[in-house]
Formats: sequence, C-alpha cells, structure tokens
Amino acid sequence: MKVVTGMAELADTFLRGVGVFFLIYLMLYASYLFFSVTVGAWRLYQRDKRQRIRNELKHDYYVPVSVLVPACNEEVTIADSVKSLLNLKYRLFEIIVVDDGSRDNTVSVLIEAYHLRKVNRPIHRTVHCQPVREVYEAKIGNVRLTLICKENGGKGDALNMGINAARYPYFLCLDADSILQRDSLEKIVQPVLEDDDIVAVGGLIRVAQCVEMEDGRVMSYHLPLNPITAMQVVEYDRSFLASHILMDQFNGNLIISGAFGLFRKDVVAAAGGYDTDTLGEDMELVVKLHVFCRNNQRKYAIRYEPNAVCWSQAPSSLRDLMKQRRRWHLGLFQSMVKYRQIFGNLRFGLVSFISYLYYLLFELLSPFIEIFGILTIVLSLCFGLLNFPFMIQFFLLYSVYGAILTLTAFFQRVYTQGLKISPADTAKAVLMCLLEGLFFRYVLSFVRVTAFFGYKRRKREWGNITRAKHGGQN
Amino acid sequence: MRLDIEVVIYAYLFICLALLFFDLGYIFCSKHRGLHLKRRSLDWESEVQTQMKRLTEGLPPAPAHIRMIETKLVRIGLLSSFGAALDRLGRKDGELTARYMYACQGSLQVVASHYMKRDSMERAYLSYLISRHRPCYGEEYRPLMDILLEFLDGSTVYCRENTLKALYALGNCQAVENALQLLNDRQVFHHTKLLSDGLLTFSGDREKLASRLWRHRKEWSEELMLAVIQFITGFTGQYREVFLPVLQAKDTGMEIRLALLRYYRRHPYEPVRPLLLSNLTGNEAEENIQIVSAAVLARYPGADTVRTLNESLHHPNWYVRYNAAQSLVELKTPPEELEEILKGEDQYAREILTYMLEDADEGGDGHG
Repeated sequence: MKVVTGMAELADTFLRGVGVFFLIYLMLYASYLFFSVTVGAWRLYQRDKRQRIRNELKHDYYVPVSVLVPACNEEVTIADSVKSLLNLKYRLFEIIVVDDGSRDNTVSVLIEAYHLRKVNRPIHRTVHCQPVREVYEAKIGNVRLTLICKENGGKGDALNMGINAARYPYFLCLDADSILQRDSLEKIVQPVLEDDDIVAVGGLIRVAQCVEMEDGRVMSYHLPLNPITAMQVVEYDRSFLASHILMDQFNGNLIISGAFGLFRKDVVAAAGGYDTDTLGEDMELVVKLHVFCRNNQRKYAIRYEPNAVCWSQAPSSLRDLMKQRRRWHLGLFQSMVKYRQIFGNLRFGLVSFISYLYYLLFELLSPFIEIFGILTIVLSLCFGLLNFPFMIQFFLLYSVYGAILTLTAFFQRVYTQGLKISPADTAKAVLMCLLEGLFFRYVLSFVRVTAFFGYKRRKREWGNITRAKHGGQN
Repeated sequence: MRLDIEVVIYAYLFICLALLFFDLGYIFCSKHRGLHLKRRSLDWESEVQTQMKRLTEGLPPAPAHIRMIETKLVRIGLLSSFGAALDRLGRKDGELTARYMYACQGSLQVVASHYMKRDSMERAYLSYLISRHRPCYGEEYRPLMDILLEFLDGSTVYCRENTLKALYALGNCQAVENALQLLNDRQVFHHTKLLSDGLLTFSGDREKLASRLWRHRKEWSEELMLAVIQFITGFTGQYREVFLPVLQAKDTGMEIRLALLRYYRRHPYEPVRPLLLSNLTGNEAEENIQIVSAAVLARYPGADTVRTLNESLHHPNWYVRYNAAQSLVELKTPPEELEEILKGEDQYAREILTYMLEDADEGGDGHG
C-alpha cells in the first residue's frame, strides 16, 4: 500500500514538473508564432504599400548572375525547367546544369532539346568537387547554357562544381524541378543593390502544383485537389511568415532553400562551398556563412525577398513526403550539431538567442517533445490523473489557434501576390488549415522522430521525389 | 496555471482573428483600389486636358486648377492618380504634357515642400513622378532642386534612388553635384552601379557634369569616384589623357585603378600600352591588376601584345591565363603565332587556349 502511495506521489510530482515544462514550452511557442505572424503581416503590408507607390529599385541592368541547376535523374522536368529559365526577364545571366551522374536520360534530353555541343572547357577548381566527365555548351539567344556531367557526389558536390564553373560574381541555386516567374531573378537580385554587405538572398518557395504558368507568368492559381499537396501549400505559407520574415528583421535567417537562393560567389568559395557530407546542404551553407563572417569579423547580411517567387513541385504522395521530411530533419540535425558553437554564444547575438534556439526547440526537438507529451498523457491515464474534458478542450483551442494563424498567413500571401482565388478554394483553404493543425503536423512529427533510423545509409542520396511534368508552363 | 495559458491563447486567438479580418478586408479593398485609382486618374486626365487646352490658346493654367493642385496633391492617393493621368497624357502628347508641367512648376514646388515632412515612402513617390514628368529643366538652379536635396536626408534607398533619378531628369549639373556631395558628406551608401548607371541618364550636359564631378577626385570617397569613372567610361573617351597620370600614381586605390584600366579597354589609348605590358611582364603589379590588364590588351593589337599574352598563358593565376587566352582570340592572332602554346608542354595553357579558339569558331562572344 505504502509503495503504491509512494508511486502515485512520485508520478504526481513528475506530472506537475512536466506540466510546468509544457506550460512554458507552449507559452513560448504560441508567443513566438503570434509575434512572427504579426511582424510578418506588418512587414508585408508595408512592402505592398511601398511597391504600390513605386518604392523599388527598377533598373535596366543589374549584376550578372550564374544560374546553377544541380540535377540527378530529372529527365521528366529538366528540359521544361531550362526553357522556363530562358524566358527570364534579365539582361545578363548564364545557365549551368550540373548532372550528378544521372542514371536516366537527363543528359541526352538536354543535349537533344538545346543542341548542345561537347567542349573541352577547363574548369577552375576553387571548391572541392568530384571530377568532370564531359562538358557541353550552347548559346541560346543571349544566354550561354552549359551542361556539366560529373561523377556522382551528391547535391552539395554538384553545386560546388557549378560554383567552380560559374563565370559571374553571384550565383543562383535552383532545383531542377523548379519554375521561376519571369521577374524572379530580377527580384532576387534587387536587394544586392540596396546593401553591399549582402552575401545571400533567399526567395519565396511556393507549391508548383497550384499554378498554371505561361511564359513565366502565373495564369491561374488554385489549391490542388490532392490533400497532401494542398496541406503543404498552407504549411509553406505559415512557415514563411513564422520564421523567414521575422528572422529577416535581425539578419537571423538560418535557411535559404536549396530550391531558390542567390549567393555571392567569392564569399561562398572563401567559406569552403557546400558541404558534401550533409543532407541539408542548403541550411549548412547559410549557417556556415553566419559563422564564417562572424569569425572573420566581416560585415554581412543575409536577406529574404518575398517578391522573388519560385514554384517548386511538392511531394504528392505520403511516401515521397515522408522521404523529403526525413531528409530535411536529418539535415537540420547535422547543421545544428556541426555549428553548436552558436548556441548561447553572445558573439552571435540574436542569431544565437532567437534563430538557433527556435530551430533547436521548435523544429529539431519538437517531435521528441510531442512524443514525450503523448507518453505523459498515457502515464496520467494510468494513474487516473487525466482531465479528459480539459485535454480535448485545450487540444481543440490550440488547433484552432494554429489554424487561424495558418489562414492569416495564407491570405497574407494571397494579397501580397495579387492572386485571385475562388470561393471554393477559400473554403478548401479553411478546411486544409484545420486538418493541417489537427492531423498533418502529427504525421510529420512522427516522420521526423523516425528520421534517424538508417540515416547513415541515406547520407549521399539525392532524396528525389516522383516528378510530374509542369502544368501549362512556358 | 491552466487558466493562464488558456487566457493567453484566447488573447492571441482574438488578435490573430483581427489580423485575419484585416487580411480579408485588405484583399477586398485591393480589388476596388484599382478601379478607384482609375476613376480618379480619369478625372485628373480631363482636368489636366482642360488646362492643356488653355495652354494651346496661350493662357496660363486657371487659378482654381493651381489651387486644386496645391491642396489635393498633398494626399498620396491623389498624387498617384495624378501621376497615372500624366503617364497616359504623356504617351498621347509628350510635348504638351511637358508644357503643362512647366506651367505648373510653382505649385508642384509648393506640393514638394509639403512632402518634405512626409515619410521616405511618400517622398520617393513624388520624386518618381518628377523624374517622369519634370516641371523644370536646365542650368538655372530652382528651389525645387533644393527641396529634392532635402529629400535625400535620412531617406531609404528607394527614396534616394528616385530622388537622384529626378535630379538627373532635371538636367542641372549643380544639383547633381550637390546631391553627390551630400551622399559623400553623410557617408551614405548608394550602390556604385545605381549611381553610375543613373548618371548616364543625366539629361543635361554630360561633359560638363563629368568635369564638375571629376574635380572632387581627392575629396570624395573611393566608391563615389568609382561611380564617376564608370559614368565617364560609359559616354566619353575624352578623359584618356586625364586618367593616365592617376592610373600611374602609386597612391591611387586598387578599385580606382581597375576602373581606369577598364576605361582604357573601352577607349584605347596608345600611351597606356607600355604600362599594360609591364603590368604583365614585371613582378610589381598585383594579381588583380594583371588579370584586368590581360583583358584590356585585347584592344591593343601588336607583336609585343601577342608576345606578352603568350607568356601570360603560363601565368600561375588561372584568371590571368583565362583573360590572356581570350584576348589572343579576340585579337584574331594568326594560328602560327599560337602554335608554340598549342603544341607545347604546358597543359593548362594549351587547354584554355584550345577552348577559347573552339568557342570563337562556334560564335561565342567572350566569357565575361
């Protein structure tokens, strides 16, 4: 009897401790989301007003840019992607497709589509990468298109090859399945003219399955029928407001998506280029740039440009989505561990105390904390300490809060991009926001917890998803 | 404790709902804003056309119209619809629109003085409007120029850029000089590219402007002078003699020297040839100077140039070799003069030259 009472007391004390922990954790998370969405909403409103009254750096000729497209088994989309790049409204740029040892017809599709000819081009190695097999080139209009075939080494390695071959001082990395709007390159370059210290600019990634494009212009926008894809649309919008805009206010962004980002070549090369042994080479590079510039006491800025839009294909099956998120979570883990010197380091200022902490607590550890929460609920149930009505009420309240935030972010994007959506799509968006908060995020939490199983095996994989031809683009 | 977090979440929920309604309201208003702007700009269009008719009849704008400009255009919404009306009228009859703006310059000056107290965003719009439809032009210094210079103080990059564009459009050398002086004194960063490209759009006497700006060579910052050199490079070869002693001076900064070398690529000048050759053959020049010199030599044909570029193909720096190969190809060097390299032992020199020759055969246009 004494033992049982002792156990119950112990469990009670433990659960109280857990209660306090979750109270603080949820308060922090709810407050962070609230402030980030509010700041994001305000900044986007300001930006929209600014553009309406012609506060922008419109220029005939910006800086020349090398567009790097790493590709591995992308035969389905690569020709269309290059075609969309050739439509870009930009004076001086080149396109470099780096084939990372594809086993499909990526290379032959490109050679045939653009009449590429084999050249003996020497490439200056400034950052490490696997050896070149062949180089092809063609001049299409005013744009030089280069195809480099190299030994397989992973996405980071392919990007490093692209950096080595790039002729211009800035390079843009772009996923092979991504489609840019006609003005995307112009928009992502504009911040460079605002501030000389800028070393990287991230663009806005949106889900390609939502749009019909023609000559790089959005002709129509709709939420996809596939619920997996539709939920990612609202999830992307929320994460955009929840982290990127707020962190942009204090130069604290730790991620520029590999799908669309502009970088200053000399700084990236000086920092050592992309890491070839990580799954999240995009995050690794940005965190590395923070560390490199601060360690070398170099003034720098990393910016986010929401008007530079890239439409990228999102996974449309649960299997592909799980594959992608496992990869992202492992990438996050690797970068956080590799650059743990940022944690609690005064020299990194808000990058340490907001950005790093956010990714640590609310991205990397959150799935584990959620699982821990579920286990605690089971424990409370065993000891008869669970308040069921309160739990349900609180869960619903929190989910509705999350859904409203997501909806706010969604409509924010609708108005800042001047998109037209139908009433049916509006209703679908509301439903998706609710479902995303109630179910989807827990599925993703599970995926992220299990990401570490078999991670050594996947270290050099590209993590490709099943591609579909782009709808109505070009 | 339980109640506390619920209260916080309820409070946040309420504010987020307010934000959501704001978003929806904004989307709704945006739909109507376009129509509203169009309607107002059509009203302005007919109003301005009436005044234009008066101008063609030799009459000044009506006093009521002047009052209307001075009172209504202080509101940014009305100013932007006025701007849209002017854009349309300008497309129809640019000359008459310019005459109308000239006739209204006094009232626009009054409007501009109101905008001095506004935020950067609104000041930027007025500058944008002036840059597109200038109310005055030429060498006579006007009070409006002083007001625009005031706009530069504590402004955002957009306001600065629009204001500079307005000053370039007004075509007054003194005003542009004052603006750059102000940027220099306040140590304001404005991208060299924006400045140099902007200066090239100057609508007045560019030669005169160039000479006035070059006078500040020793006072202004290197970035600003870089913009001035790039501006001069863009339109005149008259500075060949002026620039040479600066290029030769030991105390000239690296970026300025590189810009001057590029000037001599665009505007070849025989007396600079020995310096270019010695940059590549001697051991004194820094690598960046050697890289640019190798590219500049493409515009200085001659046996000594070919010999020096051939030697530079063995240079340890990759970019020197690259530019030297490119210059040799651009100079259309006869194959027999390149044979030694193409059949030689130096693999790096051979590869880069072969690639450049192949590329030229395929119609390549150089490599940046």
